[in-house]
This record gives sequence, structure tokens and C-alpha cells, in this order.
Amino acid sequence: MHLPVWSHIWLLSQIEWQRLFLSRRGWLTLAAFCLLWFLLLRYLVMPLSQWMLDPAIVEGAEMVAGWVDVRQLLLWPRPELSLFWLLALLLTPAAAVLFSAGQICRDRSRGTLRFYSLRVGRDSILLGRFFGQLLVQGTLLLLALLACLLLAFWQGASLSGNLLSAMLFCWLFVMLSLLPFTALMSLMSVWLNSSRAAVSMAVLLLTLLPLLLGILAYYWPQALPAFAWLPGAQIPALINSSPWQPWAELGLPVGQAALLLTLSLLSFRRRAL
Amino acid sequence: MTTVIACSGLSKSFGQKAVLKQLDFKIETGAPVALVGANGAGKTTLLSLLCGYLTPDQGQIQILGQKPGSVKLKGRLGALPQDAQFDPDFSLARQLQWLARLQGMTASKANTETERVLALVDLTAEAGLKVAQLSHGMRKRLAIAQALLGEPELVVLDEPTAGLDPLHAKALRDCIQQHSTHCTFVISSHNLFELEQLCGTVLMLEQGRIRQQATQISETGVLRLQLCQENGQQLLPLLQQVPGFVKSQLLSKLQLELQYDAVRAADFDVRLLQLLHQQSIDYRQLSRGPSLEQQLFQSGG
Repeated sequence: MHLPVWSHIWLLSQIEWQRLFLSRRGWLTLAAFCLLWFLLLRYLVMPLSQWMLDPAIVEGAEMVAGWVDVRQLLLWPRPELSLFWLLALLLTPAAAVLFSAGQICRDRSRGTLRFYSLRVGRDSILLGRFFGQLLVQGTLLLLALLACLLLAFWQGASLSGNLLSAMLFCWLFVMLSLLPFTALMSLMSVWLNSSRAAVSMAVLLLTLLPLLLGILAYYWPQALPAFAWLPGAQIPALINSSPWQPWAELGLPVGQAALLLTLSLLSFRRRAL
Repeated sequence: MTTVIACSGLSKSFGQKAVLKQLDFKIETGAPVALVGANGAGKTTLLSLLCGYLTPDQGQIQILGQKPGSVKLKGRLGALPQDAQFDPDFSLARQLQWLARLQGMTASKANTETERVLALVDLTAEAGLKVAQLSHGMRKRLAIAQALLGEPELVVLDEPTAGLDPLHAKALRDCIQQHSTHCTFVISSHNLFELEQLCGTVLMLEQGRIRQQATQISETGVLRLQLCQENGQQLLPLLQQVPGFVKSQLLSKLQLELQYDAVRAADFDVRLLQLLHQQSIDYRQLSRGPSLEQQLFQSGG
């Protein structure tokens, strides 16, 4: 009656996904996410996209705040989608850190993982939880993206292959940029005993590491390329990309996620349950 | 009989404190095995090592011929871990179905198996409730139910009746007895009366070592008699007349221990009952062999 490893991982991912819709905590997450995106779409994306539809803006488009290239954003089939792309890349990593903080530690501190570990290997538990978190994030992102599409229709857009293709690109590339953040939280969740501690440690790491690297690079410029290894390092380049362009930027988040997941797996194998 | 658990040179420390020291023992298939010892003796640590929740500092463990935590062991070993809780946000049935699916059962088999184990612990009516709505005893019974999912070959139970009411504790003992024909149980408990009823072998842990591995073979030379009234003193001189009688000891006001020559007087118990009947002395219980408590804490010294 032994199931293959991938089957265990898939079953555990489904269980994580069901938590979103069947548990009180899942409903709260869903409600908070929907409210946040409603506010963003209604009070930021809607007025700014109307502004971006003005031909005069297209003429004078330039860099905003020194790092957002509005000319690139105008290459998207709809301004709503380009603004969604910008907001998703900037905001969803924080959401990924918050939502996936308890992927291991919550059930480990409660003892629930002891029931699972009698039936599946530890690697399967960890990978199942990780991919389950990606399923949850993918679902939430898809819901937000569909809301953005509805807004675009309401503001006069028509359905086209170009628009659907850009939506798919947006969903895929945002999800790929979330990979290292979710893998980082997997590691934090193995090392620490609570979601709160995992979030605190992740925030410390994500803020202190660039600071320390900055100091190091000041005195030793050869350390400068190390910035590219920080989670989210490719996000500024992605922001200034038009659909289906930045394939070269994908290796970094996938590599970072693979490294963090490997560390997470090795740590979890040795951790007491 | 085959070996279900084999430990050699097993040691485990937490910081400076050595909890288990060079344990060597084997457990064969068959009657339930009791694991006893004082608080802090290392019982839960030993069970956690057997289940693969902890890794030993030294030594080897083989469970059904595999290392703890091995994928080949999944579904063959069931366990009731101490203090482990289910997710409070989901129903009993849903969580058991998940575990059954992970154990390799199809969706329909998982449903059937969930119903079976919930019935075993008398939780059928609560199947749809969330775990947060259950009492402590019900949660314990749910954890016992998951240990029996899929009829594993070896089941490790850490304090299975702690927190259970007498009715459900008895039901659990009956359930263990019923299942022990095809499954070996290892039970850690402080309830010696319960272990005495259930177990064939007792492992006693003391200060991280196995102090005694006793087998409860009925010793036909010893009987324990529990009377209904305090008339033990009246009975003592009369016992001298029963053929084969060696000596007696008043253990309490109502309890006597009798030793007799089992070779010459194999029917000593029958004659004793006849004597009680003739003298109109009511008794509550007559049992063979010394109690587990006596075996562990008196004769073992």
C-alpha cells in the first residue's frame, strides 16, 4: 500500500490548499487578501490606469522615482495589468513571508506532525507543505488577477489573446519570484518554534543582510555581486520588463529556492518532532 | 515468534542529562509488552526513538527489521504519542481520512477505515465535529483511533488511558486484548493494574537503564486472595489443613498471599475454594502469581 513520494507530496499539498477554504484561519487569510486587493484596485489601480490611458502621458513617459520605467509599463496590453504587475511584485513577497511562516512549526509544536511522520517521510512532509503554500499563493494571486481583469473590462478593455497571454505571464513570473521567499519561510519554520518567530527572523534576515552586504561592499567592492543572491534581487529588473521578456531573470529565484529548500530538508531530517 | 523491536547500545542525552544509557533489549511478537518506570525514567524518550521522532546519540534500533523513520516502515507502525494534538480547525473524520490516504488507502477505503477506528473508540457520533469541540478524553481516544488505522503490525501507546474515564479505559483494554492476536502492542503506563491485565512482558526503566525484563508467567505456587470482609485472621489457621499449604501472608486487611506446593497439590486452588465455601467466607477475587507491583518493586529489590 506504499504510495510513491510524489503522491505523498501531492496529497499533503492538497491538504494545505484545503486549509484555505475549510478553516477559520484560511477564511481570515482569504478575507484579508481580498480586502487588500479591493482597496488597491479601487483606490490605486483604477485612478492610475485611467491616467495612464491619457495619450499625453504616453508622450511624456519617463522614469518614476528613479527606478520604475513608465515606458516599459505602457508596453503592457492594459494599464490595469501593468499596475497589477508592479504592485504584485512589490507586495506579494511580504504576503508570502506572512502566509507561509507556519508551514512546519505550527504542526510541529502541536505534535500533529508526529501523526504524519508515521505515514510519510520527512522530505515528503516538507515538500508537501512547501508546494501546498505555493498552491495557496497561486490561488490567491489568480483571484486578485481575475479581479484586475474585471476592472479592465469595466474600464473598456476587450478580451484578447494578447491580454490573456500577458495575464498568464504576470501570474507565472510573480509566482516564480515568490519561490525564494516561500522556501526561506520553510527554513525559518524548521529552525524556529512559532510563526511569529519565523516572521521576525525572516524580516531581520531580509533587512540586515542587505545592510551588512552594503557595509562589506563599501570596504570591499568585490562583494558587490553578492547582492544578486539576496531573495527578490531580480524584482527591480522584472518591474521594468514587458511581458515574456525577462526569461534571463528566472534562474536566480529558482536557484535561490532550490538552495534554501535543500537547507530546509537537511535541517528537518535532523529536527526532533 | 519474530523480533519486532531490537535495541542495542541505545543512548540518548538532552544536554548534560543522559536519559537513556546503553539499552539492550528485544521484543518479540505476541502479547502486549508493558514499559514502566518513574517519571523521568526515559519511557517517552524511548518511545519517541522507536517512532523516529528523535534520533539516538548512540546505538542501533530495528523496528520490524527497519530503521525508525524508514519509508518501508510507514503504515506498519502505529503510535499514540504523548501530548500530540490534531488540528483543532478540522473535523475528526476529515483528519483521519487524510492520514488513511497518506497511508496508501483509496478514498473509499479511507472512509471505511475511518468509520471503523472511530467506532472502536466510541467516537462515531462525533465524527463531524471539529477537534476543538472535543473534551480531553475524546481527543485522547481520537489519537488512539489514528494509531489503529490500517491495522499496523506494531502499536506503541504512551499513557493510553491517562485522562480516560473508567468506562472508556476498560473499552480500550478490551480493544487492545482483541487486537493483540494480530498486532504487538508496547504500552507505557503508570497504571500497573491495567498493565497486569494486558501485558505478558514488562520492561522496567530506571535511571535510563532497563532494570528488569520480567515475564508474567503464572506462578502456580502463589495465590492472591481478596476477601469481602476482614476475616483473614479467622481463615489463617484453617489454611493449615489444606493439603500442600506452605505459608501465608496478610498483605492488607482484605488481602492474603498464599504459597503452596504446586507439585504435590496442583488442585490447591480448588480445595481453597471448597474451604471458603464450607466456612461461608465470601471472597472478591482469587488470582494466581504475585502482582506486577510485587514483582517490580519487592522481589526485584
